Amino acid sequence: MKACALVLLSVLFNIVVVKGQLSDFSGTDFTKADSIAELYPMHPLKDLKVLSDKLTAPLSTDVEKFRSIFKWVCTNIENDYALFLENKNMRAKLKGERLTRWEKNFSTRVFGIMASRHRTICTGYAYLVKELAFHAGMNCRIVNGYGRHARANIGGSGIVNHSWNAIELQGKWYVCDPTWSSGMIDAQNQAYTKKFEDVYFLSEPSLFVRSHFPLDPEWILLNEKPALETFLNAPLVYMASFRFAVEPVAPALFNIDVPRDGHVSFEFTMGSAMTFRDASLYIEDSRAGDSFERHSGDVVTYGAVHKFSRKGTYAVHIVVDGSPVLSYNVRVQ
Amino acid sequence: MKHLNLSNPKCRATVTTSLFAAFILMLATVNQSFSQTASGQTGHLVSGIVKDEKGEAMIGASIYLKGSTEGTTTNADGRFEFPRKLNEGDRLTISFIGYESVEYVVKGDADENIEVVMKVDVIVWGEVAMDNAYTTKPGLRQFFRRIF
Repeated sequence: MKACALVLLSVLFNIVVVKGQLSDFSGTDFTKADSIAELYPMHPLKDLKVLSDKLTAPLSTDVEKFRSIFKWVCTNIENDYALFLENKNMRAKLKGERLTRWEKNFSTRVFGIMASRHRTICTGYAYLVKELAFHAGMNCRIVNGYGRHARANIGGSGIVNHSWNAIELQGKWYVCDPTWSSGMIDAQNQAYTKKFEDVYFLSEPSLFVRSHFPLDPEWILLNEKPALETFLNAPLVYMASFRFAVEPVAPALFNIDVPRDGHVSFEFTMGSAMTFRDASLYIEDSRAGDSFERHSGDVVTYGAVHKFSRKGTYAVHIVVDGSPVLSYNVRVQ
Repeated sequence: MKHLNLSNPKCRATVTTSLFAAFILMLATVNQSFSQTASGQTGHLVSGIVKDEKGEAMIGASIYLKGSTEGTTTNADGRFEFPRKLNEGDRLTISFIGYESVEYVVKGDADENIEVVMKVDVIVWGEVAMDNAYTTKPGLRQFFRRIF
């Protein structure tokens, strides 16, 4: 059963990494790059060449230079929640030529606000990283596509809503997301909190593709690419999924239908070097969590079985050390 | 050792030709040295105008020699003149926030007056990071169960 699930998962996601990730630079100490990024708080954006030179000239390797640029952008540019809402609403409202016209004006306004107030939305972050890298002689691209979290791109046909970057370092391509590394919106109080997170810096592509699906599949950076449909219907991942390198094993889909008093087996794997204190399964509306058991084998998996005895629709979360790593939607008939 | 016999007309002609060639070469060298001294450098001037897609002049666009800190910015008419002479193959980067940077390769050896058109080549997307756990929309029965 376990073996079947693993085969199914690998068929669904084909996790054969052919491109780079942060561990390629495990011997690189980013302390100097991070310190240089801290030297220029709120540096003007009028002349990006000047800023790029300041951030990169003292560093010797491209990965350190890129780190300095990435860190500066993430820690000096704030997400503008009002612009985010306007963008979202207008895209839902306008179509065709009117949308194109609005997009042009909106772009100009977004970059104007970024230059004057150091505030933007995701394409602004990706643009800045790309331009600063360009001035430092690096090959960097903006990648547009589908970003997925608890409020976006769950099932359905998908909505293009996000931009991130691909960067070429030592002949290999890597992915990173400066917007999601800069801080986040709290859904409860609708406020942006600035906090640097480096899980989206040169991320492992097979993890990254679970929350970032590019319009051009080339930027998935995997040999064999999952389909958009697979992306939209897979279990939901979180920032902590990256930290613990969590991969879902079973169920393979986000939506699960189960009869009343039916059992569902939840199973996942974790990065081999990861350590944690506690992994639990939490069912929405219930107070206590079920504990996961460790199953040794060729691949170590963690499993828990839950019986659903009441009708309804439930969010089910796998929580590791207090942070959600995977979520499912269970419909009990 | 072979000695030149200047009384021989053939030999005399050869020496005269060689001396003339050496003189021309010397003149050319002196001329080049003089022009280098006068201008301080070789190459030619690159100036131009930077416009947006609507054809409007862009004020404050940056123009740099790639790989260096040498550069200038466009004036109120969108015009610039690079502060020193450039050589064929030198690369200029022209940038302005919100626009795709442009790279221009310096051509030939005559002064150039270029026109650069910068494009806004990005569609702005705006998804934010949200790490809150997923929640369902409860059915009526669940709704009352959650309240009571």
